[in-house]
Amino acid sequence: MSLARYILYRFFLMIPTLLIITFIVFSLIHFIPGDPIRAIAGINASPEDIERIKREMGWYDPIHVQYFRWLSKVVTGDLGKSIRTGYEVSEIIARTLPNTLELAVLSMAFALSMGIPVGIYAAYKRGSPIDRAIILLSLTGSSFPQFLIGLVLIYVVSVELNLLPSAGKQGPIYTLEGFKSALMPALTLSLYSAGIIARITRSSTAKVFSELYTLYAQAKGLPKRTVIFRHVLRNSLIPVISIAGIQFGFLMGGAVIVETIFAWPGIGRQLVDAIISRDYILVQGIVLVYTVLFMVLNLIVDISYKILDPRVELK
Amino acid sequence: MKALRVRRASSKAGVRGPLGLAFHALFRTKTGLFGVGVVVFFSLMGVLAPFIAPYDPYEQSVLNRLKPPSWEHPLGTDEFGRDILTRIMYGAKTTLMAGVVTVLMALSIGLPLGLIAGYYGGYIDHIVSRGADILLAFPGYLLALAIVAFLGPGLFNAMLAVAIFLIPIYIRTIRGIVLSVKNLEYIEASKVFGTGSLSIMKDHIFPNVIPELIVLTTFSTADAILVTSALSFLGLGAQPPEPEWGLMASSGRYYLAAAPWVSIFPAAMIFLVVLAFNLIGEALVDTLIKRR
Repeated sequence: MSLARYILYRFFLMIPTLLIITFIVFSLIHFIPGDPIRAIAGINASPEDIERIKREMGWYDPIHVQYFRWLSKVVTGDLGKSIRTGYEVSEIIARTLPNTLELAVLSMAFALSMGIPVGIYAAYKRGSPIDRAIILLSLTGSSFPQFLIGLVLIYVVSVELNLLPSAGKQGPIYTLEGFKSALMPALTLSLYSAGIIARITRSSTAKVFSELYTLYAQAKGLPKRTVIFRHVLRNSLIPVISIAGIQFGFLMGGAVIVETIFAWPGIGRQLVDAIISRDYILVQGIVLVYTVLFMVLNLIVDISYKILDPRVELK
Repeated sequence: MKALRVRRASSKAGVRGPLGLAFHALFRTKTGLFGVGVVVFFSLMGVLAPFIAPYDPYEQSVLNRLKPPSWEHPLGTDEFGRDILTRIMYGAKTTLMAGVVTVLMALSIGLPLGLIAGYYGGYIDHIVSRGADILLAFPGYLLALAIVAFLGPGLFNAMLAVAIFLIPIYIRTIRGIVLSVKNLEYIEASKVFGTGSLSIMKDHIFPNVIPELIVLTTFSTADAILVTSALSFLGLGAQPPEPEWGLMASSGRYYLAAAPWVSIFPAAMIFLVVLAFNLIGEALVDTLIKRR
């Protein structure tokens, strides 16, 4: 299969999954215990109000009718209005999502720049005490609850040393102030992924180190540097890309906690606020956007996998 | 048939089965031993809390608010003057139970589905695998968040949500192992003898799944504890005044500057328990999977 056909095929494959996922996201609202509309309208709503809202929403129509009506709005970008604030859900997302993306990109950069070198070094020294120490360290890194890292960082860096702001976003991350405010949240967010990336890099690099072609390159008398960069890393970093893609999704999900701790105005914190204030329409919209983003990301990862490694069979 | 099965499951260690191997592995490595030690320590702490805890976990005392660690209160007191050590002791049970029960829920659905999908293949496999793919299409623990959002906050709902988040991982792993063994000769032979599907799955396929299943449950217990406590931290899991570590860390964060112990001690306990399960898992991987 050619690359173009593969991309097209994967794209079409996404459609049924998207339909099912949107259906799940849509129908979750029907699983709210008790009367969902009562929950939406608030405790002060009279039975007449609730009846009126139900009629306006078309609550009595069959669920698939309601679903397709909702879906036809969603594809035009209309995700409904927030129950609590009355703002368009799409506006809220457009306002908060870029902040989360900035945070996730910076965290990913941290995670990769910590995880990959450490993983390579461990593989190079495999079996040695250093290797074992690195494995232990990466395991420790992915055992920290994010709120522990966040709270300790705030206490040490902001409260005791007064070096960085403890909350909020002070501007875009490419400005100094913005970068300073993003530093701690991004670091907190990156540690778990850094641990995972280090371990994947280590195991895939260790595998390539024991390949015959690596041995041959060494036997030819090539300098270590050339062997590592030209022969080993080019092969061993390919699985890391796919893990990095998955980890980016996890970073977006993990942003929920980090944004809450650091009062970062992102979509994750918005989601928690929406859940706590029972703003179901907003929850629905955010979950949907998150999921679609993640699916597109996975597709990009798979395609880049193929471009980077021509040996991968397209199925 | 039986002899063949036993030999396969424990090819390198004589007569030991996977459970025996696992047991052996844990006590041979320092990190494994540390992990077991921590888990045993906290389990005992949780069970014995009502007998050994110095105070009542719910008793408030305005005069003792936010007291730093002292002989009277080794880990200090929280914003309501409650003893933090006492609350951590009671919370040990909640946290460990949350991890174990969540994993058992995921296991009880994921294991049979994985076995069936892998063994029967075809349509059944297609449906189960697609279902797992769809659950995996939600990034990170967003799925758990979404489920809690609609079920309402609460520790049990949080556990249920995390269990659903773990199920596809179980299905995928188990299905993969089943696929790799189901065409082995002794299983074919067993079929030729006319053994029923259920017996084959139980007696011949399941034993092959055990080693990886032990490892997976250990690592996913760590994950389950991390995510349930994160949900509690966000106010979506355990509710006040319950002594749950994530919740304690969350309510204490407003006093971080003046009284860091209120939130940092409980959060550090979560780290210790999660690390312990991860270390156990790592010790088991070495013995059960890599050297099989």
